[in-house]
Amino acid sequence: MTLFLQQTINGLAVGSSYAIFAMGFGLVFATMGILNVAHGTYATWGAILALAAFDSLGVPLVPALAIGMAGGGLLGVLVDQLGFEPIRRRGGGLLGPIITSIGFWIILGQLAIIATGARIKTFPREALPRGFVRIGDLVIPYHQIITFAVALLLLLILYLFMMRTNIGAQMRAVGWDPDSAKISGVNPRRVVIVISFIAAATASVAGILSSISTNNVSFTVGEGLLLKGFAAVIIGGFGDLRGAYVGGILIGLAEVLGAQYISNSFRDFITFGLLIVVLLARPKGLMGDRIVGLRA
Amino acid sequence: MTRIRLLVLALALALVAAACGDGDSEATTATTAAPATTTTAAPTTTTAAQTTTTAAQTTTTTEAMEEPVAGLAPGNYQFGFTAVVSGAVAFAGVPHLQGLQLAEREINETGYLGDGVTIEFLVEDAGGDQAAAIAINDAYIANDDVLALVCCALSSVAGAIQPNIVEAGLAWVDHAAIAPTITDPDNAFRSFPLSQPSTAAIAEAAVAAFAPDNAVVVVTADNDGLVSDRDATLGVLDSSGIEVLGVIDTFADDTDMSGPATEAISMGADVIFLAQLGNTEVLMVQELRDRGYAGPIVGNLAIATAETWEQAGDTLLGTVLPIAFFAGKGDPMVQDFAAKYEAAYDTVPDIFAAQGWQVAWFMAQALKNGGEGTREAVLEGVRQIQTMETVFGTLTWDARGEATIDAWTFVQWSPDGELVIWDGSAEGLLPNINQ
Repeated sequence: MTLFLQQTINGLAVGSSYAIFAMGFGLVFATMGILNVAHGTYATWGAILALAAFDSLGVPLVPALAIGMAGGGLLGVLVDQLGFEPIRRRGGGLLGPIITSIGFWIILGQLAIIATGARIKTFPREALPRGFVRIGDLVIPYHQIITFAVALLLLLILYLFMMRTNIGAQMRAVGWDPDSAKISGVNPRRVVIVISFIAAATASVAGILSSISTNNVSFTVGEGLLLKGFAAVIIGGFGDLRGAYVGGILIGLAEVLGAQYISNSFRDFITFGLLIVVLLARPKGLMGDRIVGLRA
Repeated sequence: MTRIRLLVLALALALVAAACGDGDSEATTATTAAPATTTTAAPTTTTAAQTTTTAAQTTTTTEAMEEPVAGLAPGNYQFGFTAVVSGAVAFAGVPHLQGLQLAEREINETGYLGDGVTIEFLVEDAGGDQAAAIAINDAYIANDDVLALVCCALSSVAGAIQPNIVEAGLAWVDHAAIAPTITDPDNAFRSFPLSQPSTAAIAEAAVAAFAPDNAVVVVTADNDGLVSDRDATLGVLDSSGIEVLGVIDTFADDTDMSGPATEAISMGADVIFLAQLGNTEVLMVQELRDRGYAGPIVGNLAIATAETWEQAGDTLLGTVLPIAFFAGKGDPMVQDFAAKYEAAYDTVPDIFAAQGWQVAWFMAQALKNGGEGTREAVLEGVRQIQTMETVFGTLTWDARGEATIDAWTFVQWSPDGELVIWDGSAEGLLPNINQ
C-alpha cells in the first residue's frame, strides 16, 4: 500500500507538470485554433532565461524564476506576432499556422542548443528546495509539493481570470467567434497578445518546475512536455482549463503507476493508449461537453 | 508593420548566423591557444611489425618526428569523424570532439607523422540521430579523400552505420560506443577498452566489499551497450549467488526518475547497480539519495564528468564506478594530457575527452603504420596496432579489433567534488548523505 501511495504521489507530481503545460497549450488551441508545436520551446526558454538571470546576473532565485516566466511569455508574444498574426489576417486556416509553428520550433530549439552549448546546465543545488516531508513511510520531496501546489494555484488563478475578469470574458469571446467579438467591441489582436503571453508564460512555469525537480536545464526540457501536454489537452478536453489539468494528472498517474505495476517498457503505450480510448469514447475529451472554462 | 517584422526576422536570422560564427571562432581560439610543447602524452605503440615492446617505442613523439616515415608523402590526410555535439548525448560528444581536435593539432604541430605530413578530421554532427549518421558516413565513403572513418558515441548509431561501412571495406574505428557487436576483424575496430569487462570487474569488487544478500539493477533498456552492461552485472550476481530482487527498465529520453527510484527503494536492496545512459543515471542517483536510500550504488562513467558533480553534488557520495581514465590519475601521460586539455579548454578532461584524444592518436598511428595515404594502407595500419601506451593505460588489441586494458580503476566522488580512488573495500567507500 505504501508503494502504491508513494507512486501515486510521484504520478501526481509528474502529472502536475504536464497539467501546467497543458493549460497554456490548450488555451492557445482553444482560443486561436493553433496547434502550436513550438510551445515546448517556451518551456525550454523559460528555464534557460531563469537560470541565466540567476547565474549570470546574480538575481535571487524567486525573481529569477519570474524573469524566466516573463521572458518565456514575451517570447510567445513575439512568435505570435511574427508568425501567426500575418496568417490570421489572411485567414490562413489550420495548416499554415502548424507549418509556421514547426519553423519556430526548429529555430528556437536550435537557438536553445547554442545558448546552452548543448550541455546540461544546473542551478546550484544549495539554491534549490531540498529535503522532503515524511508522512509515515511516505517520502514527499519539497519540489514535488511545490509542483503540485503551483499547478493547483495556476488552475485557480487562470480559471478565475477567465471567468471573472473582463479580459477573460473577451478571451472567451474571441475563442468562441472572433468576428462576433470584434462586432461587440473587442479588440481581437490585443486579446490574442494577452493569450499568447499567458500561454507561453504558463509553459515556462512548467519548464522551470521540471528543471528544478531534476536540476537539469537543457535544450530538451520542453520536448518531453510537448507530447504529454498535447495528450493531456485531448484527454481532458481542449475547451476547458480544468480538463487540461485533469488530463495532465491522469497522464502522470497512468505513466508512473503503469510503469510500476505493468512495465516501464509499456509506459508510452499506456499513455497514448489512454488518449486513443478517450478519443473513441469521448471525442471532445473528458470535460469537453461541459461547456465551461474557455468556451462558457 | 510588415517591414518591421521583416527587419526583426532578419535580425533574428543574423543572430543565429552570428551565434554559429561564434562557435567557429571559439574553435579557432582554442586552436591557437593549444600548447605545442612537450609530447609525452602521445601514446606509444607496438605494432605487428615490431612484435616486442622496446625502449625505442616509448620515445616521445618529438623523437619520432626526427625519424623518417617511409612512404608517407607530405600532404594532408583526411579522416571522417561523426560527432555528437547536439542532442541528448552532447555531454559526451562535445568533449569527444575537443579531445580529438586537441590531439589533431598536437600531431600536426609536432610533426609526428613527418615533415609536411598533417592529418585532418572532417567533422559532421549527427546529433545522435541514426539516419543523419548514415547519411554523413555514406558521404564520407563516397569521398575518396577520406581514408578511414571514426564514429560513434552511441551504440544505436554504430549499429545503424555498420552495414554500409562493412560493405565499403574501409577502416572504421569506434571511439566511444560500447555495444559488443560493433567490432569486426575485417574493418571495424575500437580505440578504447570496452566497458563490459569493467562492469563485471566492479560488480565483483562490490560483491566482495559489501557482501550483499540481494541487489537491484537499473538499466537504460533502449541502449544495446548498457543492456550488455546489465547482463555483465547479472552474470556476476548470478555466479556469486546474490539474489536479484528486480531489474528496472528506464529509457534514454526519460526525464523523471521518481517512479523507478521509488520502485528500487521499495525492494529493499543491499546494493543498487546502475547501467544507465548519461543524465538518466545522474537523475537516478539524485532521486535515490534524496529519497533516503543509504546503501552503496554502483554506477558507470555516465556520472564521471565535472558537470555531473555540478548537477548532483553530494548525492553522488557513496557511489562507485569503474573508469579507464580520470584526470586525477598520477600517470605522467595522463597529467600531461590533462594539463594541455585544461590549457586549451579551461576545464579538466573527462573520460570522453580522453576517448577523443585517444582515437586521434590511434588513427595517426594507423596512418603511420600504413605508410601511404590509401584506404587499404590505413586499414592495414590499424590491423598492425597490437599494443599502445595510452592515457587509459596499456591497451592490447585482440584479433577481432577489440581493445582490452591491463587494469581498471575504481573511483568515487569525494565531498570536495573530485574523483578519488575507491580501494575496493567497504571501509574505503565514503559515507553518503543518508549515513
